[in-house]
Amino acid sequence: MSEESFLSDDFLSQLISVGDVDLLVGISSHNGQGKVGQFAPAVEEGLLRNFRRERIALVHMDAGSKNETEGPVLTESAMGKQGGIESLRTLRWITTNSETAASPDTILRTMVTAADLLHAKACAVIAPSAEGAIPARVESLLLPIYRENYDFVAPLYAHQKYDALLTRNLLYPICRTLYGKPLRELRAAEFGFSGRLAAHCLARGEWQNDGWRGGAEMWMAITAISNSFRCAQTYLGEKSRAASNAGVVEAIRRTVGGLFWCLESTQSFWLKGAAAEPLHTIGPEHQLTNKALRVERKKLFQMYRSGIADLSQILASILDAGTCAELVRLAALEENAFQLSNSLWVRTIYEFAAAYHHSVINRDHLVQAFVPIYRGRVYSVLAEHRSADPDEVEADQENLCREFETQKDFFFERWKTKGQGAS
Amino acid sequence: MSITPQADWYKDSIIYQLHVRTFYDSNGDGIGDFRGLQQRLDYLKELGVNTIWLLPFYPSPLRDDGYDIADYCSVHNSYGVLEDFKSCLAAAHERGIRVIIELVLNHTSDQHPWFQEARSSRDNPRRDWYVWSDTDDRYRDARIIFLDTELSNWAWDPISKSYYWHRFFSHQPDLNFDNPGVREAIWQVMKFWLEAGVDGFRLDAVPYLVEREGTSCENLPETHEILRDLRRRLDQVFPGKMLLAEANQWPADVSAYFGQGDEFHMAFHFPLMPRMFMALKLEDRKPIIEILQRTPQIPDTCQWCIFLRNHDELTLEMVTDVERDYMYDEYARDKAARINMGIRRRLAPLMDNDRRRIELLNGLLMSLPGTPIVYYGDEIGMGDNVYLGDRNGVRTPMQWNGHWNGGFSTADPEQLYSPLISNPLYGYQAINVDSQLRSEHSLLSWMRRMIQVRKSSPVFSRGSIEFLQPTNHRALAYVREFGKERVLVVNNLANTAQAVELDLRKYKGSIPIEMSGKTIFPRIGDLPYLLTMGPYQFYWFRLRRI
Amino acid sequence: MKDMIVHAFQQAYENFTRRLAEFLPRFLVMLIIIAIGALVAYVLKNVVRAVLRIAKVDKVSDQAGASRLLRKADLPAMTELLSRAIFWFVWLGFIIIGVSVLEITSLQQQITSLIGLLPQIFVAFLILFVGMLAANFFSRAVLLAGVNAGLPSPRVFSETIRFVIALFIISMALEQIGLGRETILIAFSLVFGALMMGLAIAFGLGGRHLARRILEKHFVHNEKGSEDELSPL
Repeated sequence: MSEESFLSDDFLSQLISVGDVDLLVGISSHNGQGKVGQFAPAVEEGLLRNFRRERIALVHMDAGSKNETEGPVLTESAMGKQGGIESLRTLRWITTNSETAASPDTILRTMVTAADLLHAKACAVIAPSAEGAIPARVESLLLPIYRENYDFVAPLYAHQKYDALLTRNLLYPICRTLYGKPLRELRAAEFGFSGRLAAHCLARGEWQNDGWRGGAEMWMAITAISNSFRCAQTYLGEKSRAASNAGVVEAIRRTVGGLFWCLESTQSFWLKGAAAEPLHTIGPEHQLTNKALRVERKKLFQMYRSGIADLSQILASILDAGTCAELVRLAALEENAFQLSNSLWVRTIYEFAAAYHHSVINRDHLVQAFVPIYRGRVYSVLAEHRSADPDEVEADQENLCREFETQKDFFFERWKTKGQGAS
Repeated sequence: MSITPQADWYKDSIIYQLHVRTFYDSNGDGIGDFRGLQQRLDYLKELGVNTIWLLPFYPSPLRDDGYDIADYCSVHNSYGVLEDFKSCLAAAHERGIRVIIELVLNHTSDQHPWFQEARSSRDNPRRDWYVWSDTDDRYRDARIIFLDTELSNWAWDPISKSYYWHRFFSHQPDLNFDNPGVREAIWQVMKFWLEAGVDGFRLDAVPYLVEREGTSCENLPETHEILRDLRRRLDQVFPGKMLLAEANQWPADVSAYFGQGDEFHMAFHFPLMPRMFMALKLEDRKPIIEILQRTPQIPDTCQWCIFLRNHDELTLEMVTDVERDYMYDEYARDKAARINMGIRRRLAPLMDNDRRRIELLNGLLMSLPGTPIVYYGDEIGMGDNVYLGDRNGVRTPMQWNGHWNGGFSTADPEQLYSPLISNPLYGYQAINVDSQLRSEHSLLSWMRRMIQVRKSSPVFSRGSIEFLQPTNHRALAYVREFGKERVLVVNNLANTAQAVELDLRKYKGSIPIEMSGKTIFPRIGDLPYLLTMGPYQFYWFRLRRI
Repeated sequence: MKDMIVHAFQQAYENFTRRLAEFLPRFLVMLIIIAIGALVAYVLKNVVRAVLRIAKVDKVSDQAGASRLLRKADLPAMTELLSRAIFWFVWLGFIIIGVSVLEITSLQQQITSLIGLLPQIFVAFLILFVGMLAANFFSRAVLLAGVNAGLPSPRVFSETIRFVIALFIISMALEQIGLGRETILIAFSLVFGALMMGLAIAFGLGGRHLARRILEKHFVHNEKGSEDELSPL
């Protein structure tokens, strides 16, 4: 059993009173217990539909709460009785206060620790503002783990064709290329994991390492992939926009920084050259929609241009001279002539990753320097896909993945030795 | 010692349920009898029980283990004669043990002279003593109780060429309680036995006395009126006698059988029983708490009867479909153990012969509100035989020792009314009274001590109950209170050690004294009272103010 | 008188030769000591270098991040730096011993006071070194934050930060070695204060609308602003 001193006495006491469970479901919110109260009945219904006999505990973790937790999420009379279904057992709710749940990483760490202490067989983390059929989402994440012995279940979403570009242009191709698994949502707010995986993650001790600073969910996914755990992905429908409302800079700091850190800690796995393997997918593989979205295209291009100009010195210490020069050349072009090609994008990413590995400058600064380039890429993609249908967009995705694959050897080389840009 | 008259003696009863046939054979014919029972009364006295409930011993074709009565006012010749019964009754009274007997109101055997007369012709005076019909489509809303064997509640009588109504087996035609003659006849039967000295009756199948079109034919107002009338006559002529209702219904429906204290004195709490078993498997107090919270208040003079097992299957009628499936999956994986809508197993096999679980359930039985009933053989952990057909597997001979026929009978083993349990785990060689009497640590010795502890305080038999709600749902904790006396009962329903924190501020300053060992525990203060409990452990604490 | 002058010259010449005769051996001994010292220091340097290499000090220094700092300051690797430091330390010791053999008091005093100043100079260089690194770090952080937030002229902010920090650490370094202590302090306070006042006026008055927008963006959560609806994840 793991010993974690970051658990508060109150939380630990609640865990003791709950005892062993079969299923553990975590619901995170940010200073918004009211929202959780609205959607808790749906979560319970999802559990009771398929798991009426199982021992279940639900953990509500409120990050950044300014108040003490306001008591139980549901009234006692409502607990365990949802959707006309009554559970055989007491359905337990555990709540945490702001001490324990200070950040998304701490939330996941709390969940993983609780799962280990309670010997949970299957766990799921649910985003509180998830739209659509919540009971079905709960089932989709838990059933493969509890009934089919999977260890990690990632979600699959329907995206608007301009959405989730960081995921589609960086996380997904990297995961597919370097780890051999086509995991679409490497960093998701909702996913499922087994008690086995939780115990493994706890034993590794990365929770004490502050070098990653963010992306615990991604780290967990990569740990699962790179350690022969059984992984799957399941379709959950449309992704909630509220759940992914992070600003670009913060998203890149956490995501790109987290990704690079994960690459470093798992280099012994992917440097060997992981073989591509299919991933068990439940439901549709991937869906893109043409829904309307407000986009500030001009601003993206301007920020790319000014970013490249202002950060040229920093970029020179990270990237090769040729790559740098190309980015600068693009910045000088007119808006309608601008295109950040797949080839340049991939090369830039690989050089950034290698530079991160060699710590050519402070790592957080390095990741921040990536932001204007990402903005340029987004602008480029928006222009390219303006009149494209979802199938064409998906075809371009495949081309991008092939480009990542093509430049893989270059990346391995750069990773192992310092490149020109690194000073 | 003899019986001390007391109006509500049944509240302090600890009832031992047995069939005279199963208990002890005095004449070597392979069947237990009243003389044999009389010889074993000292055992029951030492055990600590103070009431015996005898299953039907009337003349009967025995197609339903005696519940098909062919003569209400006699004793089946296999068990002796009426004088044997009266002698046994007197001997029981001398030892301070009361006796209640079975009375099957709802139906008789088709061999009963009443039915023989009724079917002989449509004009016979007793024709109307049973419920007849030319078609079998009346009372369509009444459910079939013995689903495994009966397809209809109507049976065709080839003699009188009409259908007769039967809620149970087809050889058990229902009496027609709309007929005043029937009601008077039943009263006369009761009077016969009361004058013989019995202390009360367990009335079988009471919800089904009356039928009305468009109803479920259960729990009808007319049924209650008939029962109230019987009770009135009983109180007038034989005060201090007790009526116990067998009504397998939800608590709200059963509580109607108490009336305003003018119907039954006691009734079985059927829905509680499967939930005790369920709570143990779920390791969760929820089923027990919920059913007891749903149990309505009953008149002060009345009392629930609670039990773990009996001569019938562990009935799962009063649970939901999901709960029934769960119980089958957990307790009756072998489908041979399933019958009707229940499980035909004894307590020990249901508990996988786990001594701790057996003790815990008996602890619940002795400490929850109600008069407890111990089924014969469960005090030594007897096993069962699901292959004997019907529910006969839980009605095997009592195991007295490890010798010939388990000490039950001197007859040849083939002559016994039922084979003995003889497997290595539960067989009479391993499980018997004599060997358990030799050990202070046997289940029998433990049961005797527990019964003594229960009898040491009226709080168990007459006290109120207040459930505590510790956050650990594996703990079932409650306080029984009667007058100034308080007992705290804490049960660990889990297979693992548990820490339980109890909010006992209401009892601040009291010192808990564990009742079986009389050990003193730390005084109750403001902080949550922490108890650490082993798997399936339970405590009874007397809360004393010193 | 002529005899007196000749006698005086003879005396002076004899004194000179006597002192020279006294000095030269000491000087020679000093040279020998210094030479031996150099040899000993050199041997010690190599021994220390070998020991440090066996102990993999360079690797530890890499992991601690100190190697990076040394590279940025154009200093050699840790092993080399330490072994060279040992060399100079030991040789300096021998030089002091050698000089003490000459028994020139004033020279000894000067050398002593110079040696006494060495720690201060070392600390001053350390302050400059660390300070420059900090200036680089913070100015880069401000530049990146400004660029990514879309602020106008982020380089101005970045260079201002660098300048202020540089000014600060130079003042500290000079103060450390005791050069014009009070002058430096007063001058620094004046310049720093004026700069801050100027920035406050420029930002708070001239750029008050921009200030307001920035503050609102950071502290008023429910305002969406003109961000697009694209979500990166």
